[in-house]
Order: sequence, then C-alpha cells, then structure tokens
Amino acid sequence: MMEELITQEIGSFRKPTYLSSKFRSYKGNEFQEVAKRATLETLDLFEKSGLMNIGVGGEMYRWEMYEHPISRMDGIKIFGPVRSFDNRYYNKGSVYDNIERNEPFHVEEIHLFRELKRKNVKIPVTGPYTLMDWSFNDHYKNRADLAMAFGKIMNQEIRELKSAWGDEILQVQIDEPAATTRPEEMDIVLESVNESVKGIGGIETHLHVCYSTDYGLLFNIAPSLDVSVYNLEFANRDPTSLSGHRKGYDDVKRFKEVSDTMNRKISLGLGVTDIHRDFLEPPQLIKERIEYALKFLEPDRLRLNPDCGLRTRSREVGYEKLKNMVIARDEVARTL
Amino acid sequence: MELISLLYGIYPRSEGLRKAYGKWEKGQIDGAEISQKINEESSVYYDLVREASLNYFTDPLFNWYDILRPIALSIEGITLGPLARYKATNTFYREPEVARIGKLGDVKSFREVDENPPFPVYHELDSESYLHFLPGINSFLAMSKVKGDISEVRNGLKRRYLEIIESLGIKRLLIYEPFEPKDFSVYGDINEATSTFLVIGGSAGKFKIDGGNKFFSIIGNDPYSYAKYCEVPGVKIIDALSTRIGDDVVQKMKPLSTDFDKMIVANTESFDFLPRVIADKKVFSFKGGE
Repeated sequence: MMEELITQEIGSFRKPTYLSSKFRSYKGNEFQEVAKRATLETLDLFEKSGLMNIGVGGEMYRWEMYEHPISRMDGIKIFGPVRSFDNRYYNKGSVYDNIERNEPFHVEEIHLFRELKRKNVKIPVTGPYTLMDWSFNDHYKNRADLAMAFGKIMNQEIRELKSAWGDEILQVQIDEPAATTRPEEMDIVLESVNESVKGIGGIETHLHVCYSTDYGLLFNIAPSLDVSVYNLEFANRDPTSLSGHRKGYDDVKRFKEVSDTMNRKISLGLGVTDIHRDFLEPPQLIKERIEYALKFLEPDRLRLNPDCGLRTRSREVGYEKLKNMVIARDEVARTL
Repeated sequence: MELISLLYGIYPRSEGLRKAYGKWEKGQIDGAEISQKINEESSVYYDLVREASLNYFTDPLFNWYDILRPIALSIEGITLGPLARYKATNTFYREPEVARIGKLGDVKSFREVDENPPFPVYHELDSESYLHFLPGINSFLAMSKVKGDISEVRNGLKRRYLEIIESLGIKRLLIYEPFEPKDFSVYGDINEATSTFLVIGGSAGKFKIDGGNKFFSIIGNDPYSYAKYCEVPGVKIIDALSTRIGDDVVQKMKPLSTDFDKMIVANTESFDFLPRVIADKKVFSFKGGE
C-alpha cells in the first residue's frame, strides 16, 4: 500500500552557530566533520519531530542554494554580492564562458546518508531555470541557451547522485523558486527542467516552487514536465483563523483539475506552515488545511511540508513547526 | 551629436557600508554612527562620479532600503506591507499600503525611522550635476496597495512631492517611472516647479501629457515617441543587468545622430543590480559617450 500523507521538509534548516559563524573558514576534513555533526544533530531533531522524510538533514553542507553549485562550475565568476532586499545580499555569478561542472555539488551528502543507512531521503538541487535567472548572462546568446546549459550540468549532477545512491529509488527535488516569474518563459522552465532529468532512471522527481503569483503557469506545463511531485508554498497566503474558507489553498483544486487530464499520477506537497513567521500554527489549523486539500486529492497523492526551507527560523521554532505538522498529520490519518 | 551622461538610481553599497548596516541592524552601532558612515560613503561616491566626469548623477541613495521606502515612511497614512518582487528580478521591496495621503514628515534632518536607516532622505551635493531622486507617482501607486479613490491618492502624492521640492529647494529632479507609463499629466505642476528628468520603463507608445512645462529630459528606449515632450531626449544604454564592461556607447548612438543634436545617455536600471566592483568600473563606460 502507498504511504499516505507523507511528511517531509523542503530543504534548508537553520545551521547551528558553530557551523554558520565559521562556515567559510572551515576547510577540508575539518569542514566535513563539522557539517556531519550539524547534519546528525538536525536529523535527531527531524526524527524527534516525527518527520517521515528527512531530506538531507537541513542542507548543512551548503551555504545557500545558488552559490553552492555555481562556485563548483567553470565559466562563471562571482564579482561580489548583489542586493536581494534591505541589507540582505547574495553572490550573483556572471557567466562569461561556456559553463561546465568542475566538481560534484552534493555527492558527499549522499555518501553520508548511505553510511547512515537512511532510506527516507530527498535531496534538493537548484533548478536550471533559477540558476539562469539569478545569474548575469554575459556569454550565451539568450536566456534559453543558458538555462539549457545549466540543465545539462544538473543532469550530470543528478546522474552522479543516483549512481552514488545505488539501485533504490532516489527522491530528487529540483528547486525552482524563479520558475513562474516570467510567464513568457515557461517553455524555458519546461525544457531546462526536463533536460536536468533526461535519461536518468530510478529517481522520483520533485519540483519545489514558492511565492509564485500564479501557480497556474506551472500547472499548465505539468503534463509535459517530467516531475512526479510538486512541493509548493500555500500557508503564507492562507489566513490563520481556524474556520472559514481556506483561501490560500484555492490552487489545490486547479492542481487536481490538471492532474485529472494526465495519464500519469502526480502528487502535491502541501505547504502547511509559513516559514516567514515565528507564529506556530496550531495542529488544528494545519489539520484544517490538510482536510481541505483532501477534498480534492487522495491521501496517497498528498504530502505535507513547510512552505519552503526552514533556515529562516530558529532551530527551536523550526522544530516546533515540524512537530505540529506531524501531530496534525497523525490526527487526520487516524480518520482515514 | 552632443552626448550628456546621466547616472541615476540606488548605487550599490560598499562592503564597509554593508557591514556597518549589519551592525546597526543588530544594535551594535547607533543611528548617529551609521548616519556618519552614510555621509562618508556618499562623499566617496561623489568623488567617483566626478572623476568619471559624469554630467548628471542622482544622490546615491545609500540609506534607501528600496526605491519607495523613505518616501513611504515620510507620509502619514502610508505603512509598509509585505515583501514584494520588483518586476521579474530577484530583488524585493516592501509594498506600501496607502490608506490615505496625510502630512509630510521632516525629510531634511537627521531622524531615526522604523525599518529604514536614519534620515535625512538625501545626502545632497552642492553641484549643478546633482539630481534629487523621487520614485514616479504612477509607479509608486502601481507598486503599492491603495485603498480609496486612486486619483485622489495620486493628486495627494503629487502635492507631497511639491512640498518636498519646495522644502529642499530642489533645482533638478529625477523621477523614475519603471512601470508602463500611462498618463504623465500629473507632472505638469512639478515641471513648473523644477527642472525634471523623467526616466521611463516599458513602452512609451501610450505617452500622454496635458499641460504644464516640458520635461527637461525624458529618458527611455524610444526617443522618437517622447522627444517632443522634452528639451533633451535620452536613451538608456549602460546595461545595469550585465557585468560586461564597455557598452559601446558611441556605436549605439550613431543611428540616432541624424535626427538628434543632443541626447542624454543613461543606465538601464539602478546600478544597485550590480556588484559594487563592477558598478565602479561601469561608471567610466559613460565616457564613451563624450
């Protein structure tokens, strides 16, 4: 029987201070040891919360989702940080030549989880469209060509992750927060994401998109997209009142309508906790959100997760949010 | 053809200023200290743009957390809402929520405000090249949540802009309208009050303006569509979304030289979209137009 209402995290979790404060200072073996320690501590938290899928233990080996892969590529250079908002910055790379992967991005995480004999893993990788959208393109003819070049690199990476994982199915989550920012470029999203997984067997492909102004753009390409699970943000757009219309979850119905037109099954990862606020959604609220989604989707096609990575919250708040999500899930599951 | 250089918008902060803001946000340094640092950094910027011989440049806006915030925080009845994406970029701003257009606060003096570094709003330079900066009224409203009658709010905002112009004695003003222009008649009074440079985004095909003086300059992508509404038309050429140095200004301007005697050459967007080290080099790209 398929598992129902699988709980999962999205990717990142706040790093312990001993790792975050010296992240760029640790080198070689010392870094490996400290990142492993942080991963194990985070796994303990995840398992204590009752989470069913533990991801890769909060992405302790990565500073952030963009810089980590591009700093392992040739043909792209970081000249300095660029502002995201207020006084928050990220290192934006400039593509000045043909891009190539010069070392694996995440294989060390797979090796660790093999060593730990954990099976309930989902490994996030940054999607090709987002990598393109967040880079300066000073080399490729157009945005589509650059996105496809990133797609080919991600294909190499995912192929190697799968090879390191072995025969069992590996869950791979392609993170594409930028996916729906330009409606006219959804064909680029489609082709570059498909390129990332082309010809790779033995994986279950997830796609994570958040804070979209129109998930419909994504649903429109779903029939052609080689993705099985869509992990999306919803809680941020939903009221926190216990009763009334679950406005933030209107798109679940649209997801169902699209999936009904398809001859293969796709699942939805439902964002049930907001990662931008310390507010702890009570289990009752999360339960209502799940029950609303169950009006449209069967429980084996519904997974439960926070809206996005929990790195934005303290470890304590992150843990409490996950715990409440699990409590709510268990209460709903008992009624099925 | 005579080419006149113009750099507008938020200029990227130095590493030193970013770190200082980090300390200020954590309460490790106070408002007076960060204000002193902003003054110092502004002076460095003015030295740079003078060295690059730019004809016109705006305030670097180092204490603007986004292109709307200091103005939103200066007007009663406007509060800050959630983060919103600026166009299709990876840059975010706090969406103003406009309940009404109330009184204008003090924009000239040192003043601590919530959710933005301290005022004054501008760090002025006594120079004929210096331009004050204001977000376009149409774009301000397009980027905000507005309650009530939109034309009333628009006129209210215009009145506050006129107050700012008067209280600061603004001689040259740059208005930045990154969103699709519709009707620029709202600027009639502003054009009479000061010499105005208008930077527009999107298509200028629907350009409409009734009454008032001409703009000193309108800067966009298609000078033929707006040249008649200004004294000196301009084009956006120096690419703020590419780190490649050398925008080949002379070559790009050549096709226009048969129809225009004098033009302004400007950046395509705020240099805040670039790393500082690249912005400091690009400033000298404008020289290709001189």
